[in-house]
Amino acid sequence: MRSTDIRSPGEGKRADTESATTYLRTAGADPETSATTYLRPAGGDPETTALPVQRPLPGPPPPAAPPVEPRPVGMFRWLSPLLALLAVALLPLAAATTDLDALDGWGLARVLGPAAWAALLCAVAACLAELWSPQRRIPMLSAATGVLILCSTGLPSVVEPTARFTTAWLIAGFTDSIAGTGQVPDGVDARFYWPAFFAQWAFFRDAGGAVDLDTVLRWFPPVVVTVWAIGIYALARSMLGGTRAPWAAAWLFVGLNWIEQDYFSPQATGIVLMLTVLTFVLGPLATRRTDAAGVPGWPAPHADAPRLPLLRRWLVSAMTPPNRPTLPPRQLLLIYFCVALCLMAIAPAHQLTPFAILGQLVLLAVVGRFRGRGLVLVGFVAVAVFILIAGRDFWQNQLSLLTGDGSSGALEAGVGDRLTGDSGQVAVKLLRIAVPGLTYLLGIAGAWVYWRRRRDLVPIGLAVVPMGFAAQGYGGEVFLRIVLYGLPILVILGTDFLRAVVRRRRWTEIVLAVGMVVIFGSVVLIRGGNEAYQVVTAEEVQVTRQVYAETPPGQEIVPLSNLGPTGLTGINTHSRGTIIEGCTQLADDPIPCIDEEYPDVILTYKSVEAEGVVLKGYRPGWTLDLIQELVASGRYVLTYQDGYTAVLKKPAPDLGAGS
Amino acid sequence: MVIDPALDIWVWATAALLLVVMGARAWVVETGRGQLGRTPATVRVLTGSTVAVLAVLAGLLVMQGGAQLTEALLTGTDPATAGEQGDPAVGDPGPGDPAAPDGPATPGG
Repeated sequence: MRSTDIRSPGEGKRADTESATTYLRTAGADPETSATTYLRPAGGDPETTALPVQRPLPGPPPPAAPPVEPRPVGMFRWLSPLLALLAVALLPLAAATTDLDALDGWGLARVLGPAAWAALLCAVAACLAELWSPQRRIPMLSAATGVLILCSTGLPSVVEPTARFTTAWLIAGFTDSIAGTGQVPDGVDARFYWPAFFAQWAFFRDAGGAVDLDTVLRWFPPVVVTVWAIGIYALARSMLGGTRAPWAAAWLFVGLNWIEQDYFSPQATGIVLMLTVLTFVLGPLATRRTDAAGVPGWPAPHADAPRLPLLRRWLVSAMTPPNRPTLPPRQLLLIYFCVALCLMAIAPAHQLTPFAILGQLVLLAVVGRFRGRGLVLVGFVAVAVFILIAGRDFWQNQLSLLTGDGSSGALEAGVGDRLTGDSGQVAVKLLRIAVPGLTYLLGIAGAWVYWRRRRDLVPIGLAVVPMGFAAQGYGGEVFLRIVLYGLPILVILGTDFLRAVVRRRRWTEIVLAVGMVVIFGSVVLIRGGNEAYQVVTAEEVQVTRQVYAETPPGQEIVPLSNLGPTGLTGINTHSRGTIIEGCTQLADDPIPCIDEEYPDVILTYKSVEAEGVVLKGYRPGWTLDLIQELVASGRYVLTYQDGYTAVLKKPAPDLGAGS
Repeated sequence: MVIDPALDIWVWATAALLLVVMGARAWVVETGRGQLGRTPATVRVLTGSTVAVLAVLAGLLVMQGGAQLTEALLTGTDPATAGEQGDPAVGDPGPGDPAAPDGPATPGG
C-alpha cells in the first residue's frame, strides 16, 4: 500500500520557484507583446527595478449593498423556553395525580393524569417552536430535547417512586454481589460471563461511598436515552447535514424507541459505545466514496454516466489510496485510540453489541468509507481473546445458548406466542409489532430518497446488518429487540425521507407536527404497557432487603413470580430456586410447584397479582387465596403482609417435639 | 487439543503486543510525510511486525480453545456434554426486555 503526501501539489517548492523566476508587469507597455515579461536571470543577479505603486484612482464609492435584515424572531424568542418550563412545572403535578393503584392491562397510559399528557404536549411544542424559529438556538433545542425525553421516556421515572422492571433490580443485585466480594460469582447467571458493566458500577458505588444504586436505577433510562439522542444528532449531522434534520432525527429516535433497553443494563451502555464508534467512523474518519480524481465507484453516480469496465473499476479502486480526513495527525490518532478503547470496552460488557458494531464496521471497511481500517482488526481480536480466554467457562458449558433454535423459532416466539392477556395487553403488544414494521418502512423509504440524492446504499446496509443476530436464536423477542441496533440508522434515513416530503410540499410540516404528538403519545402507551406488573414500590424494596437480611445465608428465597425487586441483593448468598420442569416460576402452577420446590421463603408482590390477572387471566385475589391456602395447610407461616405484598416462611422446627 | 490455562498469560501478552505494534504503525503512518507511490521502510517493518504478531496470536488462540470451539460449532456438540466439567444450569443470557410482548416472562431476562 502506498502512502500519500497530504500537502497540496507544489507546496514546499513554491519559494524556490519564485526566487528563480520573476514575473514583472510593465505599466504602459504594448499589451500584445509586453503585458507580461518573463525575465530569466542570466549569469549574475538581475537588476532590481523599483516599480511605482499603482494606487486606485479616487472615484465615487460603489453603492452600498442594502443591509440584510434578520428575519424577525418575534414570539419565537420566548415561546420555546416558556413551553419547556411549563412542561417541567407540570411534572410534579403529573406525579401527584397519577394513580398507580389503578394500573390495568393498558398500563401507564390509562392512569396518567391530564397534567402528564399536558407536559408531554408542551415538551413537543417547545421542540417544534424552536425548530420553526427563524433563528434557531442550539442550546434551546438541546434543552427542549432534554425536556421531551424527560416527559416521554422519563415519565415512569417521574411518576413512580422507585425504578421499575425486575431485571434492573437484578442487575443492581449483580453489582451488589461484586461490590461485596470483589469477585464475579460462579454458576449464578450466564450474564456474569460478561461482567464489565457490573464491575464498573460496583467500582462507581464503592468510589462514591453509596450503599445502594436505587436512585441511579430510577433515573438511568432518561439519562441514557439523552446520551443516545446526542449520538443520533451527531450521526445525523454527518449523514444528512442541515440545521433542522439532525434534531428531527434525534426526536424520531426517541419517539420510535419503544424497545426499552435503556434500563440499568449492559446493553444500554453498549449502545452508547456503539454510537460513539459509529459517530467517529461516519464523522471525522469518513472518507469519500470516490477517489480524488473523480473516478466513479459502484454504482455509477448518474444513470447516463458511462460505466467503466468492471476490471478497471476494481483496479482503480485497489490502486487508489484512501482519502485522508482533513484532521491534524494527532487528532486522528486520538480518535483511533478512543475508537479502539470503545471496541475493547464493548467486548466484555455485552454479548450482542460487539457483533453488531463489528458487522457495521466490516461493511464500511469493505466499501472504503473510513480511514483506520485496522480498528476492525482491533475489534475482532478483542472479541476473540475475550470469548476464547476470559469466557472459556461460558462456551465450554453453555454453548447451546449460542447455537440455539434458529431464527424462525425466535420470530415465532417473539411475535406469535406472546399475544396473550386482556384486551389492553393484546392491543399494546400489537402496537409493539406494528411500530418496528413502521420503522422499517420509514427506513426503506428514506434509503430510496438517500439513493436518489447521493447514490449510496451503504446506510441501509448499516441498518440491516444487525438483523443477522436474530439468527442467533436466543428465543423470545430478540427479533423485535434487535430493531434497536438498526434504529439509529433507520431513523436518520427516515428523517431524510420526511425532509424530502416537506421540501416538496411545505404544508406537510403541520402533518408531521401532529404525527410527532401521536408518536410520543403512543411511545408512552407502548413503553408503559406492562406497567401493571412491572411497577415496583418503595415498600417492596424495603421488605425484600429486610427479608434477605433476616434469612440465614444458604437458604432459598423464591418469588412467587419473577417480578418485583427480588434480585436486588443476596445473589451470592441465597439461592433463588432450582430449575424444575414445568415450573419456570412458582406461579405457573402454584401448589404443585411450591410442593416441588418447597423454598424456605416465598415473596409475593402486587405486581405478581396483577400479572396473573391481566396477563394470565387468573381471577382477582388469586394470590391472597393462595397465601391463605398455604398458611392453612401449615406449610408456611405469614410473617409480613400489606395488601398483596407478603412474605411466607417455613414454620420453625419444633425443637421440643423430639425431646 | 488440551488447553493449558497457564498459557493464557501469553495470549494476553501477545494481544497487548499487537495493540502496541498497531499503535506504533498508526503513529508512523499518520505523522509521516510519505510520498505517493513509496511506502517508508519504517511502515513496512511495522506492517510486517503486525502480521507476525497477529499470526502468533492466532496460533495461541487456536491452541487455547479456538480449535475446540470451532469443532464444537461445526459438529453442533456442546463441550460440556463431551466429557468436560459441567456448570450448573444458569439463566437466560439474553438481555431482558421489559417492553417486549411478553414482558417479564423470561426468567432472569
